[in-house]
Amino acid sequence: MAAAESPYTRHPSAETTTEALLADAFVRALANADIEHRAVDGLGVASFTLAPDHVADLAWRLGIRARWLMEDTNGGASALNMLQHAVRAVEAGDARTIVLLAGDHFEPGSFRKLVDSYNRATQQYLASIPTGGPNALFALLTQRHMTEHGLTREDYGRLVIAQRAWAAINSRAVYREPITMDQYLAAPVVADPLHRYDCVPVVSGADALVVAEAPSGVAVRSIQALHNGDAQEGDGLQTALKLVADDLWARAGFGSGDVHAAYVYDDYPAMALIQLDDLGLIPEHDVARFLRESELPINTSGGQLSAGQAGAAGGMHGLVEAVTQLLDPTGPRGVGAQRAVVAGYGMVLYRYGACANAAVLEKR
Amino acid sequence: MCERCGIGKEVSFSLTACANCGHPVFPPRALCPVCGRGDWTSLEATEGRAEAVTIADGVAIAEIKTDVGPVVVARVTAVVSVGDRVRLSNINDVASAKASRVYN
Repeated sequence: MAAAESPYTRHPSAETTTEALLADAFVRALANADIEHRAVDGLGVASFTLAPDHVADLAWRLGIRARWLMEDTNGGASALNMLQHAVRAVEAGDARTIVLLAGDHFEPGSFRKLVDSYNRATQQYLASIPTGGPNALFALLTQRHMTEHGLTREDYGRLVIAQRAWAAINSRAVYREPITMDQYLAAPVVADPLHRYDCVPVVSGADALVVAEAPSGVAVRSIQALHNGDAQEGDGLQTALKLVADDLWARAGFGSGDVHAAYVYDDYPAMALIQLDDLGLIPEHDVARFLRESELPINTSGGQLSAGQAGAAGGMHGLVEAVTQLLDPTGPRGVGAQRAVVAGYGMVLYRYGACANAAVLEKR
Repeated sequence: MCERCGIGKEVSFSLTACANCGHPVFPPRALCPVCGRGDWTSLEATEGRAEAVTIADGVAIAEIKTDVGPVVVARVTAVVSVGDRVRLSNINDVASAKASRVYN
């Protein structure tokens, strides 16, 4: 595998297009993988703003003759969903070199339109309240998470501050200034108890992953997914990862204690913590203690909260960072990782996400 | 909506329950997640408890755990705190909640 990211920006130029961002990430990934354009025979894409184009249009625009195509629409779960299918395709010989792309460029106003018409449940039952997007929904969820785990805002602040510290050494992160706890707590409220630093900066950008058979590099030890695991009738304080985590680690051949870095979908701090817990990374489910004491590197790029959320690329961002770390454990932000776990979460369906997946990666 | 005073058409809040096994759901969907059947009956859900309340862009929004089971996201139309018993209604197709308590 190889990975690349087209630089994220909160202020894209007027000429920016989604297609150009995806193409840029594509070209960077090929360069990182040291493979030629004509070797690519599979393409997957996740993008909210590619429409009316689809993956076949993109294949044409990128000059790819594809034996395998996939377009994924599952938000933060898209990247791992595409990875799941791409790995099987390469294993089965359906394609030899697949490139997975994810990214978005939002014109002013189009992001609000996206969140209001995200799905019919949103259109019919949330847009008219109006909830105004996922912030209100995850504010409600965070309240209940706080109560269930006895957390304070300071606890969430620790995660946010830690990720911002990683972003400080990531030249591509859109927010790199370290934050103090006072600054975190004093930030303007968005929807109680979420304040500014609990919400991701929306950016334009794209990510790319190359999936191919190779004698060395990064191996996918296991992938697990469970979507609509609780029929959306639960409380959202655990994801379906909790139900598949045992299988995930069993198939990987090692346990949650054996990874050197974790990448979770950090649309909100509470969701990052929930995924960490579901994956078995929080000893005794003691979230507050984990936040105070854990030294496990998490979201080493700064995560979406600091590096930015480029729409559908949000789910691929952590995967790209994980692969980058594994391929170059002594790089600029290197943590010497040989093993990592990556989680995806997405498709906010009425109150919380309906999709959850995870992959365990190992350097080979 | 009343053109003069703006008050919306308020009706009791109802959701759907599987006609086969009785499982209630909200939002509605095609097939019952428990038994897989596609026949539904209407079920009133006028009472519940506020599980979380927030304000987003000036709109007070709550999660209401209805007595019949499903959780509904509602606009809060009168002061509601977490833990309050609430009355749930449908005002102009918007789920709306207000505290059930009677103030003296």
